[in-house]
Amino acid sequence: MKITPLNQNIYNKTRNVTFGAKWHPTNNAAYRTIADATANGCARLMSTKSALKVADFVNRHTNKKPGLLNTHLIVLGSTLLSGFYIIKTLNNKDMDEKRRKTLALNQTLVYGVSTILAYAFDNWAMKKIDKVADKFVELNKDGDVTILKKFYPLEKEIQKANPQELVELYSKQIEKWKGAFGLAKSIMIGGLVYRFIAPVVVTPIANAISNKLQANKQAGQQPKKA
Amino acid sequence: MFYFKINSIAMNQRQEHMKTNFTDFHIPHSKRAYRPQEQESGVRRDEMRRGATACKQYNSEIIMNKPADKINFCGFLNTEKLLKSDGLKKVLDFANNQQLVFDATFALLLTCILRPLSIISLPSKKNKEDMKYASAHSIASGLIGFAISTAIFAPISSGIKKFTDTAQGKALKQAGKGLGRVPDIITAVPKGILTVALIPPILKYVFGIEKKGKKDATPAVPPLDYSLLNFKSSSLKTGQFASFKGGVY
Repeated sequence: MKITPLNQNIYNKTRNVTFGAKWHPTNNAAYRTIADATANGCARLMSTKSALKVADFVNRHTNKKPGLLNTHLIVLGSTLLSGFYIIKTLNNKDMDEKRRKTLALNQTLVYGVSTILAYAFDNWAMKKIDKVADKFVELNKDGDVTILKKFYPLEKEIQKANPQELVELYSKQIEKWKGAFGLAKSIMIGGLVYRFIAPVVVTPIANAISNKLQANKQAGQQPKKA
Repeated sequence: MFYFKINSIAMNQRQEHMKTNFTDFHIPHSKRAYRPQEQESGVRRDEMRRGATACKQYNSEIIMNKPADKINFCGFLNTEKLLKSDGLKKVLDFANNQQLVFDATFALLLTCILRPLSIISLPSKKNKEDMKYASAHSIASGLIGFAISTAIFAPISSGIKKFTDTAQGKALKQAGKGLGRVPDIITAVPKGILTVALIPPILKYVFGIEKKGKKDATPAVPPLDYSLLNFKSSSLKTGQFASFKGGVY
């Protein structure tokens, strides 16, 4: 007769199951692989001489107004995309030449006005956001430091920190949150201008202007033909 | 209905005075007069009624012309509460750690909610079908942009954040912060092409909307004269039909 102890779990093998664990992207192996590869790639790229020259150039020119760097990058991205669409429109053989030029002019006007608006709003919002960020720091500097443990359950440095270290980490985190105000402002203003104001408000105006310019051009050409 | 809950300084001081002034305990609260403390210089209280400038000589500083500092609209928009809230801190973390996904999320809100509402609500010469197509186009572009950005950029943004937290990343200062947007700049054109290419099938198969071509002035098939087919037309009695003997044309 074979007697097995009750705690010998030979019939119900335990599987690797966690109950109540929330899915987090960093639990995914593919996510971690891509993130690690990107970090290593950035480290290699930013150690080259040309990359350091570019970084130095950026630091010198954004020293006085660091908040505008994100707006510059958003405008650069939209310049590439708009430029591609304008070139594609001009080389489109399915449309007649007049229609191509009108559409390209329309796209150029929309891009130009959107860029001006993006910089104008960003400049206007900069001082207001700085006041809000200062108010945020003033209200939260004496806040509860234990929220760091709740917000970052996977950060070992925070989870193992003693109360004194936690206070230091909290003050560093407050500075990061303060910096995020400017970042969020640039992203939101860029998105608002390029994805809402430009298509809804600027496009009809640009259409009217380009149609008028084309009409004036045709009116100017007609006496020559006669 | 909304109402303003204004915490003015004068109101607070009146309440404070009511709590601490025990000499008036025999008089009900509502009937106690508010007497601000006078300084030894002896400025009379009736001078206070002339304007705010006289009030400054009192310790109480009753400010009549300045608007209230703290306003909340039924508690819906309390800026102090908002700035202290955990939700705002999580949003700031999200913006800091995942710039591109934050950008795509905000774009999703704009293209799926704000832009369709403005297309439908603004007066336009276009007909309802065109407006419906434009709204669906906007929603589709937002969803596709969000899906592509999240799938491609989320791990890349994490990797860049990981790099910028190292000593080498911190040494780059401002340039390191701008590194988060570089993938978006590099993939701007391919992402735009992919989004534009995916919109028509999404509209057709998900929303069931297809952009119809322009209608021609003349229809392809001429209208049939059904009276001719029913053999009731008067033209049947004249011409070739008069000699028609059988069969249907």
